[in-house]
Amino acid sequence: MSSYDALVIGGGLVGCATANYLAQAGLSVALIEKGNINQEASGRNAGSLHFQIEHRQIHHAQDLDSELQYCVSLAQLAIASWREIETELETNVDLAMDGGLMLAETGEEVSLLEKKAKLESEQGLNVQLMDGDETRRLAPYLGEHIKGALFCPDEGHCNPRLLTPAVARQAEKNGVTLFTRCHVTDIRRANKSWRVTAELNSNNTNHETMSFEGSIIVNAAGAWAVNVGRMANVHLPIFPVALLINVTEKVSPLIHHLIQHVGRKLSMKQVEDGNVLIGGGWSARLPQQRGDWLSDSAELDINAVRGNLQTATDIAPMIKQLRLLRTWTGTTGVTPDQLPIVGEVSQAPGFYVAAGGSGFTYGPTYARLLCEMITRGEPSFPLTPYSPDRFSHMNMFMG
Amino acid sequence: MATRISKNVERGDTVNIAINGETICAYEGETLATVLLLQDRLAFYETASGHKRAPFCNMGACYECRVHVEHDGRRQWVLACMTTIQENMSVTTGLQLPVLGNTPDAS
Amino acid sequence: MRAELAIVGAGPAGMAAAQVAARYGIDVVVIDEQGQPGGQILRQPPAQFRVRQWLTDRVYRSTQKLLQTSTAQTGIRWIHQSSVIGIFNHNQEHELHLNGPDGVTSLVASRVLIAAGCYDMPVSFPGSTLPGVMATGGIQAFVKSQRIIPGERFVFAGSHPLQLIVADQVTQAGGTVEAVVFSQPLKTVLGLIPYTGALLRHPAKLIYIAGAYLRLLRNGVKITTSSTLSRAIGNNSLESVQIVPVSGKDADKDGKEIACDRLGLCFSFLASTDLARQAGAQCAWSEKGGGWLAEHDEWMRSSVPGIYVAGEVTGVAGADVAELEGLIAGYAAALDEERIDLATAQQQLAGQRRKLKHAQNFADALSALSYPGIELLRDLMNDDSVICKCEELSVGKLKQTLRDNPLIRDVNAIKLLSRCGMGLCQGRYCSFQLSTLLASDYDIAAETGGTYKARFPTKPVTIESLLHNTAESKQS
Repeated sequence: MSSYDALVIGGGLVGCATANYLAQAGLSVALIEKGNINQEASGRNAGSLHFQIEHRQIHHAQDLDSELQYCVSLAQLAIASWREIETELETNVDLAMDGGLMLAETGEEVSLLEKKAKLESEQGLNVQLMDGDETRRLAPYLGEHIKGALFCPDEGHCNPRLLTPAVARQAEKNGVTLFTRCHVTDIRRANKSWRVTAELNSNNTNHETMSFEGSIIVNAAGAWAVNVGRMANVHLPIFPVALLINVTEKVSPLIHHLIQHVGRKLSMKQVEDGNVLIGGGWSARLPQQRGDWLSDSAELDINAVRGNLQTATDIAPMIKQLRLLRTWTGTTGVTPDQLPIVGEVSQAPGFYVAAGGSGFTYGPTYARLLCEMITRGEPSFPLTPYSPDRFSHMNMFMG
Repeated sequence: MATRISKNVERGDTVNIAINGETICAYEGETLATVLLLQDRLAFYETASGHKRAPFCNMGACYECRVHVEHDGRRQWVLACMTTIQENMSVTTGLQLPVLGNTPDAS
Repeated sequence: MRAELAIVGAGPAGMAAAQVAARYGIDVVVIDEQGQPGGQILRQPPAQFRVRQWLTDRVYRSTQKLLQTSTAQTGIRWIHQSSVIGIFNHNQEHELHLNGPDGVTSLVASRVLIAAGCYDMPVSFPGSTLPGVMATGGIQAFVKSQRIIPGERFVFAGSHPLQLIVADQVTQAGGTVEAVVFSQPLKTVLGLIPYTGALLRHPAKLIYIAGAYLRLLRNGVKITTSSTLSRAIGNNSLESVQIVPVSGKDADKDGKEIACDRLGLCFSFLASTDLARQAGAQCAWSEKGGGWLAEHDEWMRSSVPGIYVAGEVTGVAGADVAELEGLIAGYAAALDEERIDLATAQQQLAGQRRKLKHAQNFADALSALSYPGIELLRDLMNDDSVICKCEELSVGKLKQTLRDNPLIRDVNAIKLLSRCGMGLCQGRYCSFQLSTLLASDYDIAAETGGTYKARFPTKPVTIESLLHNTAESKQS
């Protein structure tokens, strides 16, 4: 039985960052990951850093004024944190924050952008409305028919292949013990602490069983957070959703901004190495076996690939000259209200969750605030809207 | 320099292509890789760090024989070993690829 | 487009399967990347050429016959100059995506046979990416098919007897071969000669092979044994190679430099199982058999229902074995489509299965004698060698990434951190070297390290082709 102050389950960005911050605060921390560090969504996403407000929220603006205010304030926190990330991690992660353009192709979409611009500016987010010509001056490869864009100078991207491993390295330096290929199988409450059982190298026939003990558990298991919650007898409404990303051959620098679209599913960027990444929420299919999702075996649907690439080509015609090199899938965790779950489950004291939401853009921020909540009792920025207790009606008899 | 085997071979009609601006006469059925090697061109494309590359596998697997081609109003890179020459093809060797052309807007 | 049986690859395995299946009334489509059927072994000259005495050697006669009879068989559609870039589940059938001259089209087939062949094993050593360094199989195709001598002064180096055949073909065509370098000792090389027949169909062909060997000697071609490459030298292209004894402590001192403009590498072959893996077929590692090989039952059925595998993808073993496996796969398709009963199929194949066993034994013996060995392959690489030619990643830089990340030891994770395998060749030309490095330096077996996940598209495809099929758009 290994005892730690905190047991963090999940070796993605949120898990590694939380473990790192907890260790910096003086706690002894074990990070338990069923596969390899950064193997799942954290390492497979497109690396977008997007701070503009989502489409969904604009539609219900009247009802969600305070939510908007909250989102913009959190965005500002995240922006500040990203600007410092390479200094903090003491390494290059291909960070580029040269701005994002959310495009409009129709008059209706332009109106949406105008509405967004007004609301976001009111809340203090730095955004700038541009017409078609201005947009094309900034991004000449965009089609003649693009009617306008909302420019957010702080948006951008970084390299998900480099980021989480760098966080993990720093976590280790700060004293976190990493257990990989270590699959949690049981979580139990014992007096004031938690007991976690895990199988090391569970793929091999001679796997070892490990036992951990800690007063704090952080469930940072992304698409698998619901499984981890189940083991602790807690309902967590996080559902695995598989998405696809397309990557093209390398090309000389052309696209300098994060490209998004206000009316269509699209996210496009060009990475440091030259490849263009095209995604934006297009689905892949999760197979199921006896009613369980096989969350690490997402299957591609070629129609979704075509749909995604057609959208990209529609807004930037030169894209079609490029070779598609690879399409891959990743599984992320999505909550019913699309907001993350960050905080303590009241019915299960010491059981914290940090999953869902925009786990890449806001991952380090969620982690830092959660760590403050754990170590100081209260985060420096309120996490109430993200509390697991908004689902407490599910967990009245759990924990 | 590569050479054509003449013994026991009768080649077909000739085809004119341009290599780096120069008109070259070759035979129907010959691949771009063949014609470039016959012209002693060993720099098919150039890598990001400036190294020249030339054919390796000659069967469309290695992607080392890429050349920039313009033909029938289109421009793209192709695998020279898998591309048969066509009349009026225009090849440019030694470039970093891809070279993007101006694409008219999708209508 | 629909078919009952889609066959990927028009080499010996594909042709044999197509012929049998079509004979039993199955609607067959064969897809191949080349312009004509035959596979790599029969890279036919362009249709516009008239070549006399092309591959008239008895060794090719059987495969030539197969080419004639299968192309004369009715009920087979041949699709050329097309790559299959992905296979997906389509209800209980399979949807293949073909990238051809008119863009990407789809073909739905009840059954699929993957007979995609193999490719020359890439190796990394100082100067391995210099223009002029080529796969010996590639040099052979220039001679055999395009009818050119693709350079002036040739050196062949490796361990596989194919290099004797190609060196002979080059000199017969009028080219100059400076040396043929074998890593094995002389007695092993001579012991190889009887087995080369397995490559070329008839053991009786040892006379031809011995002839090739003697012709080379008579032409002043140096055949060096127990020697290997130390480096390829040149500024913008190959100018010379340095050959060193395999086990010399003073390898550099005893090295010999040979001026040349073409280096033919001939160590081994790798099975092209990327498409099979993308389709979900279970594969197993075989170092000498060609890397990751598609597993199958005695009817060539893969682990995916409705998908068969035959030829080099099940283990690199030459045209003989490929043709017989293709034959079995053709019968299997007929059996599974209930066009033939089991007893008849078994009876028809009894003799063929014996022949297959014999041919496989030959091939195994050949590969045991001609496989270079992991030590030799590892020794070719020094820190300056380029391991991933697409991303221009050196062995030294990769080793540094491995040192910096001691927890990362599977190939896909290494790829993410180092970019090894992220380029246009999609890892075909670096995965074996990476596995070799991991086995050699870190004692990580290939089964543990794995291979790059095969994904759609299995060959790069322009986005325009994927979105827009010109044939379809002409109709609309």
